[in-house]
Amino acid sequence: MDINYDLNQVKRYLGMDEQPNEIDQDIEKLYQRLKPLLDPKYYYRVFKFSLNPLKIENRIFKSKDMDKLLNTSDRVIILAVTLGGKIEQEIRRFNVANKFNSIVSDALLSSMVEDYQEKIIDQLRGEYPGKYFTDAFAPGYGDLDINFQRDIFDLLQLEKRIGVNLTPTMLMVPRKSITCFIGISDIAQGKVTGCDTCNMKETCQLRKAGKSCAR
Amino acid sequence: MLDKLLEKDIVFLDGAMGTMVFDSGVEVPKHVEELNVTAPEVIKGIHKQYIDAGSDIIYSFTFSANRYKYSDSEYDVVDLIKRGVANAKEVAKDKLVALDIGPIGTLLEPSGTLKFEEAYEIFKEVIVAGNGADLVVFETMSDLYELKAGILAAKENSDLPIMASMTFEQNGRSFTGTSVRAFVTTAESLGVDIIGVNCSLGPIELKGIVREICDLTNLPVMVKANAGLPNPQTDEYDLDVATFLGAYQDFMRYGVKVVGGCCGTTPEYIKALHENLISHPKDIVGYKSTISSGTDALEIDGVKVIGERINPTGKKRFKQALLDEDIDYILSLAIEQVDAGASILDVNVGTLNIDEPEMMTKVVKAIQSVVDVPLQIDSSDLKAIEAGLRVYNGKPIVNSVNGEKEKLETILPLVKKYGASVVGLTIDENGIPSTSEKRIQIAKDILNAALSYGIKKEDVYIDALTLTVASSQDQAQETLKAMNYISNVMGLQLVLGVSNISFGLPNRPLMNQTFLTVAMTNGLTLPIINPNSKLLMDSVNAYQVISGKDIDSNHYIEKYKNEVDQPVVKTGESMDIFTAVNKGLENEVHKVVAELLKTKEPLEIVNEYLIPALDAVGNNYESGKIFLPQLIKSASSASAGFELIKQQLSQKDEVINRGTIVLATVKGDVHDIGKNIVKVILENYGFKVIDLGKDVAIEEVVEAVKKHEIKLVGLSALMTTTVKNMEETIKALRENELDCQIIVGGAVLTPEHSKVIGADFYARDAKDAVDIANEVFGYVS
Repeated sequence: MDINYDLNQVKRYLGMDEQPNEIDQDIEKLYQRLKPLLDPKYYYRVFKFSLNPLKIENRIFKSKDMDKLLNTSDRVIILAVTLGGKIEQEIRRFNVANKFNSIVSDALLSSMVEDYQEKIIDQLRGEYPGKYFTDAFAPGYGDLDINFQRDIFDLLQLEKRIGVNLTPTMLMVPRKSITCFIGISDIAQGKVTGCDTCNMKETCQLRKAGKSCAR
Repeated sequence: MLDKLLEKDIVFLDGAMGTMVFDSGVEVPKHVEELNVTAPEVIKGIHKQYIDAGSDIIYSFTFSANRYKYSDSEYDVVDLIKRGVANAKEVAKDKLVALDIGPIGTLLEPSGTLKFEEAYEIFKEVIVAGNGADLVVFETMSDLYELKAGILAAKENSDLPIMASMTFEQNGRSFTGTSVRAFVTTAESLGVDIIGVNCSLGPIELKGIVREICDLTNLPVMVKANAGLPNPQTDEYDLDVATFLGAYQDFMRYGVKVVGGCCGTTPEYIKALHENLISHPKDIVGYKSTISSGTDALEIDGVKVIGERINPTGKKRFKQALLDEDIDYILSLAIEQVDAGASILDVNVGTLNIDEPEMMTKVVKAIQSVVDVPLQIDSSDLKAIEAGLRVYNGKPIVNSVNGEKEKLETILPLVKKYGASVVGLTIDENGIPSTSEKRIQIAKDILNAALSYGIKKEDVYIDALTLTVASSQDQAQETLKAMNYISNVMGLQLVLGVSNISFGLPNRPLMNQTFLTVAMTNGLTLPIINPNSKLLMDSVNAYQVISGKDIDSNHYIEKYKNEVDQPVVKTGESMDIFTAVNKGLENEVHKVVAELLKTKEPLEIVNEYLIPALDAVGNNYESGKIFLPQLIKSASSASAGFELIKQQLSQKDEVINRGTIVLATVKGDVHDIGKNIVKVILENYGFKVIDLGKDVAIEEVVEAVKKHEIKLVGLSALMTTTVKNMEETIKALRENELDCQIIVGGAVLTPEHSKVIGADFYARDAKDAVDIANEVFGYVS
């Protein structure tokens, strides 16, 4: 699967505007350099669940936002994607030897892991013809506590399946990894995610400038 | 008891526990091993089924029972482990019980945040609690470093035999990048008794990996594969007993001796293995001179260059970096040497006024986080050698022992214990012998001593030492004669620091290059040289062709095909510094500063050229004409100029320091990009930064502030979850009544919130941090 990046998104992450800039070529060069180091992997499981509060197997996820997200769904996918551990060392090297690459690659890889996640979701969508997928929602969004990440990891055994680990402070390692819940529903649902559910909304520089980090 | 069991042709392990527990109908708690106390009969029942199916060794139900994972369990984890072993023992009777230990549940440094030393303590607790078992098994390990912590904990806290089992992906690498060969080389050197793989894949996918392990070692090899791959809808495994058995029949042909099943297998699978497998004698494997990093093994099957640059001897800039704990400077030397073609890096951090063992620990860990080559731990301080060996990930080289009895008796046991190779210098109490015969005799004495400690011959490398031809011309021939004998007759690897030969002579590179070539002809495989020296590396590359190691000259051609008749390009006039910094052109800045240094004082260049150039860039950034990446590019290019100035100053024992600032990304947080940017910009403005890194313990910040009498501390945190630790760090600094001010920064912080958590300043960005630093240290910005 070819993992790409969205140039404008990368530039937004870097606090830049969308005007053509000499940095554009640097981003592309860095992309070509990092591409061979990607070791993308994903794992997912499809669960039955009950709501108010959301319960999956022996785990309870207390969150009004999740109840809302899944209220028309009959099953829920928990998906995890990662760009793999091989790029971690390169990121550390950039930190020492090339701060410019360090900051640009961070933004670039974020866009890439999001692209990868979207492509996997599209692939999964193909396996459920006639069904609709809700927005992807993750711990740390809205009122879904970041500590629920631990439960996701236990349910999916991500350490063993795709080599993603959690730190005691709920950071994922390798860093360029994403987990999410997606409801599978018979009816289409409006957008749930966005600035309103983002825990950065108070401090976000983009939002202050009237922009958004979303594509 | 294990020894006796291993006399059998095939040893049978058990199958999955988890799968059986979930199918037993018992209500499964979040922490499954609690069942050892709440439903012991269920656990014992499962063990019994495996024994009935033919298992010779059963694993205690303790895989995830450790204090990290069980921090929120209402049960005492030590007790759960004891009960787990007791439950297994009760059923096992004359069969053996392995204390089952899985991964801790969070990743170790450098990618994760768990310290090696903490991992050791966690394993130690498990091993002490489970010492009623007959052996220890580490399984499902994907991090070699974690496995090493476990093996050391087992060796130092019990006498039990050890079985080490990792998981690999189909590409032959673990999730943390460890190759099969790096695993086998390291685990075997550390003295495990059985080695193998489990989990991660089904037996069919594991075939290549199992075959590779069998081809690398004479230790008994074990396999515990999953019953195929899991189905995401049902979480069930897809391989039936007959197919599973078929793959294991192949394993037996490769020489596997110890077999069982992992996820998805049941007593049926074990029974099938027990009833049908036929053993095949394993081929004896020849032991090779191999060392390893945490990811890649390196066989010394020809000339491999050891980079010599990480050594403060005679280098003022390096000594200053050690005193300043400027680890990034050392790391840049590591990266540069590997990029230049070094296969191994020598690491020596011995200088006055530092704690060498502590520095060795820090530097070994840091270097291994940025390069994949094996290291040579170089020190004359026994404690520093042990400190380096302990935290090293893989199988290193120790530099060095010599013919002195005391050296041999103190260092060789460490070499054996930590599974290293060792360099022996042909020198003893009487100095360097003047004849080749005496050097050979010392080499023999060293080899015999090493063998007596159980170190293999292939792991002993000899350095026959060279003196300068300027003062002892006849000695060069004696060195070469000794080398020839030690290589060809004794069959040992040879190490040699080449550049001593030319000391005191003009045109040293020519002398070094010629001597290197002659030495390689006489058996030198591990030259210790500066890999940035093109002449020396060229000789090595040419020698690889002539000695037949560079097959079809492929490497040589690739390296030199573009070098033919390249015309020398004359460089034009250099740019002015403002343009060079503004455009972020590192090489240009370097050139301009070098030029300026000819006529101006270093500090004058900083104050009148570099800082004004940076101010101009900073103003463009603030007014929105350029963006952060461009600012960083300019700052990095200015750093290249600063590095030159620092080198110049260190020659005169001077440093630039407009104020010392401690920076840290707080405990629990690994997002250090912002902190690193602040660092580079502060350094550009002449501030000295003590960078404590990321995920920094609260005490460590307090300690550094005390030690260096710091007036300004910068803390960063990116996550809402870690801002709490930022607050705690500030609190600790205040409680210690340290006379310092604190700047904080990070995406989730606001100026208001910064006040709430007790900071003195909030910095929006790196430029802001510089303005604050200028204010605090009384400079007008």
